[in-house]
Amino acid sequence: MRGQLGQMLFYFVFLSQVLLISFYFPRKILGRVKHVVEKYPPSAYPRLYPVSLDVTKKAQRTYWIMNLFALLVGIVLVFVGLWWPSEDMLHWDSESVLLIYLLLQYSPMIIAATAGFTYFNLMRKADSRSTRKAELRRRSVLDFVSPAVLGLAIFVYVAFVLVIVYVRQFEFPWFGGYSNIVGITVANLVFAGVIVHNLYGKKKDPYQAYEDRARQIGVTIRGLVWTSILATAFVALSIGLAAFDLRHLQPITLSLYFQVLAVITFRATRIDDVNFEVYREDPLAT
Amino acid sequence: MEIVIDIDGSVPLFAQLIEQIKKAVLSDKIGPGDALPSIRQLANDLELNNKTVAKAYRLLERDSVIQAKGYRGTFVHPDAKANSTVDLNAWVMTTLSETIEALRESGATDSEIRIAFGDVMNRRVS
Repeated sequence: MRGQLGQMLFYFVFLSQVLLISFYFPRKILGRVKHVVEKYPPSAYPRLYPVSLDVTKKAQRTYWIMNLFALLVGIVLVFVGLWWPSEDMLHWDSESVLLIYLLLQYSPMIIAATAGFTYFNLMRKADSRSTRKAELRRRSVLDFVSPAVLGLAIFVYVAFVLVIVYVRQFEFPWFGGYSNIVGITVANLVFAGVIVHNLYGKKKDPYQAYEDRARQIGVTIRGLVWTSILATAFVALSIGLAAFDLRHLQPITLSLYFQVLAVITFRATRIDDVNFEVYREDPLAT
Repeated sequence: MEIVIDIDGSVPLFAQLIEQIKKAVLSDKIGPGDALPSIRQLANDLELNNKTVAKAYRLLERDSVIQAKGYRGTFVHPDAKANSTVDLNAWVMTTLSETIEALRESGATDSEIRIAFGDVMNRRVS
C-alpha cells in the first residue's frame, strides 16, 4: 500500500469488513432467531424445534462468541496496522492476511450451516406424516433469474476469457495466464452444480411451504449468478490494477469484494415472508 | 397444481401419481403443452425413488397423456384430456374377466387357465 493516505483508506475499508461480517450480520441473524423463538414458540410450533430450546440457545451463544473472537482479531489487526505501519499487513502479504482472516470470519457461519444440516435431518426424522406433496410445475433457472442477468453472467465470462487471451501476449511476469480461466471456470462449474442441486435436489426442510422453497431457491440462484459475475469482474479488475501498476489498491478491492459477497450471503437468511404455520402441530387448526 | 401422495396407502405409489396427473389434466389445472417436472425433480420433491416416477411417466406416455421431448423435457400431450378418461387398467380387467368367464363356460378349469395365462405371459406359447 502506497502512502499514509492509502494505508488509512485500506484500514478504513478493512474495519468496515470486520464490523460488517463479524458484528453487524451476526447480530442481525441472532436477532432474527430471537424473533422467531419469541413469535413462534415450541409450545405452538413444535415442528420447528426438533431439539430442545436449550440446545439452540447454546449453539447461538457459541456462534456469537466465535464472531466476537473474529471481531477482536480484526480490531487487533487494524490497531497493529495503524500503530506499526508497514507496506503489507503484519509485514507479510496483505492479500494472504485478508484471505486467512476471511476464513476466520466465515468459520462461525460455516459451522452454523453444518449444524443446520443436522437440524433439518432431525426434523425429517421427527416427521411422521405419511403424505407427501409436490408442485406439478417444472423449475428452471429462468423462473428465478432474469434472462438479462443470466446473459450478463455469460457475457462477463466470455469477455473475461477474451481479456485473458489478450493480456497473455504482453508476457507480464506476474500474470497467471490461462490458470485464471481455469480458476474462474471451476468456480462457475461449482456455482452451476449448486444451482442444479437447489433446483432439483431434495428439500432440506420437510415442512417448508412451496412458496418459501421457491423464494429460497430464487435468492440462492440470484446470489450465485451475481457471485459469478462479481468473481469474474474482481479477477479481471485485479489483472487490470496489476497491468496499470496499481497493485497497491488490490487489498482494498479484495476487502470490498468480500463485503459484497457477505451482503449476498446475508440476504439468503431473510425470514420476512416465511410461512411458519407449517410448523404447527396441526396446520389445519389455524 | 399440488399433488399429494400417501406413502402408507394401499394404492401403489406410481398408480397414485398417474391418477393425480390425470386428475390435474381433467380439471384443467394443467393443459396441453405445459411442462411437467423432470423425473428427478418430482422424485426428490416427493422423496420417492426415481424409478417410481419414471414408471408413472412411462405409463402416462404410453396412454398419450404426456409426451417426452428428449432433452427439452416432458410435456402434457395435446390430446391429454381425452386420453385421461381412458382407463386402460379398467379395460384390461374387463377384457380379462370376460375372457376368463368364456374359458370357464367352455369347460376349462381355473388351474388350466392359470397355467395357460402364465405360459402366454412368459411367451412360451407362440
